[in-house]
Amino acid sequence: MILDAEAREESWFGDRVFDVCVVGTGPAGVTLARRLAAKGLSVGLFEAGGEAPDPESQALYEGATAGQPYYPLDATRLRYFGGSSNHWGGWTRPLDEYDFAPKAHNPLSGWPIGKGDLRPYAAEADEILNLPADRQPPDILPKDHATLVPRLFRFSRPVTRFGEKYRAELAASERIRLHFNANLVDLRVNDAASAVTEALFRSYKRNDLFAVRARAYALCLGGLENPRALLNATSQVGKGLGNERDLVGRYFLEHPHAPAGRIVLRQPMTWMIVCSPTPDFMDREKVLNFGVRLGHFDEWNGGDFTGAFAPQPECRTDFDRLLAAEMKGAPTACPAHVGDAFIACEQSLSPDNRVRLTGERDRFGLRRIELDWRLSETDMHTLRTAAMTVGGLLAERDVGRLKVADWLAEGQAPTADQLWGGNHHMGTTRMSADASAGVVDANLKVHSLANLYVGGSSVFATSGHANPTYTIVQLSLRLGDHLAGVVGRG
Amino acid sequence: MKNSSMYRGADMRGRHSRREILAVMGALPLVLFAGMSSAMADGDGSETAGDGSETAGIVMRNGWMLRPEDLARLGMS
Repeated sequence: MILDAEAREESWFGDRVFDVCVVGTGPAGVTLARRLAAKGLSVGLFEAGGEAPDPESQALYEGATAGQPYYPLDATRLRYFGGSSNHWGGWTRPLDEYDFAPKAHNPLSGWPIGKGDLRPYAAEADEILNLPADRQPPDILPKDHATLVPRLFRFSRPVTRFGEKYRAELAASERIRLHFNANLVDLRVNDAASAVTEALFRSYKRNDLFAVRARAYALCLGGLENPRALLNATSQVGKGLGNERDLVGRYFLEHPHAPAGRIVLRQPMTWMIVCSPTPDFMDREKVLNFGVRLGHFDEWNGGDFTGAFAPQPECRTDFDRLLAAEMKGAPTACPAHVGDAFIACEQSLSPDNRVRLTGERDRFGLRRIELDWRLSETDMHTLRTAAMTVGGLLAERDVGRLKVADWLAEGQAPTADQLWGGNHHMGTTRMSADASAGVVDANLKVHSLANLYVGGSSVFATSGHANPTYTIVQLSLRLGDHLAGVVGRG
Repeated sequence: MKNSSMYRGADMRGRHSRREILAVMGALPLVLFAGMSSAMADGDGSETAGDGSETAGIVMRNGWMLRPEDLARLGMS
């Protein structure tokens, strides 16, 4: 059932107690709500925006940034039905097995769960995200398993916009009540501050609050807004909820994205080739995970890109002439052999990379946020090592040649035109076995609250180099199963 | 218009390219690989200051990672 909170009636919420109150309708929220309903639970699902983008809703995402230049905070995410899946590019890849393991050169790394805990949800994630069958990626650097391995991305096609894909199902559902224009403004807790008792919402046109009660609550608001909601919940707990150790909002992670240089290859390119480091190489070189993409930057930004390139005109120019021309700055147009190298990498954990509240308040009185995003020496070392390693192997194997971007070759700090984020907001309510190291536990429950859960990439303990949506969906399915067990037992 | 700015941060691999995003943000670079083009400006591929290191059999010239024999074959030695 779909309802508009602007038209709410007393009977909608009066004595009603949902099994689970899910806040947010992006990939995490919709996936969780559907899973819970499939398990027989009643779900109150709340979306702050409406069915379509609206400036009034989007303005509530405005905020400040510091450190590395970043996208405007009201542009890097979307605040309407389907959330940021509405501008998602559809790139997917599960995290690697070793992404879950601690690494000595990345203090605090390591997840309290492993890849095996998410693997049971892979098939359903594939279906939700409209993914093709997995396949073996091409490898232009064979016999090099000590250093780099080929990686494959799969592309959601058509891209799953969660609002569009699941609107009819949600509308017909007898167990899910989806409410538009419902802005979460507070979470109330019991006297011991050990459990949430109700969630308070407001719509845009009416001044009165409305309270929603449930046996469990799940915040699925995205990696910037999940910590904001917890930090703003100060009506009873001064530091905000789950923030006893000042960890909410800290350890923000992005995937630094950077053009690494120009490539000339001997064989024509038919596929975007991605090279990633082996675990041994990462330990030896003290770098984090990365993916170096070889291909055509403009083509892989296309909305219909699936990994394979559009057929290129045949090129009879020999390799030396192509290389010489590129080196002399007089490139011959040959998309079959000449292209770009591009890095997306894991970022190291830092408590100073964070979301914090500012003194500015939005129309509902909630404090806005500042995102402070910076690169560490480990991040820079990872980026430079990635480029130099791929370039070195291309030449060593005589597969091709790479011109490393000057700032990388010379170890300079990148400008806004040389490095940017992927609109991936992770780590701000990180998962940890121990409450001293994170905000949520292995079941995504806030350590200090009995019935408050968090979904989405804010729970990532580390980021790997893979785009996050696939893992978000896997985690939400797993959270649904866990909550069905907890709430179902009553 | 606010509505158009809403998409400025859209996934650069998706409906909007990085170039489009930057254009909307008023920050479109004239050359995406600005550093690269300036390095190429000398044009003849000759060794430049601070960029002539040779490691593990791989030679760097103007940022290009080359095999040693490339230099002679391409007339650069």
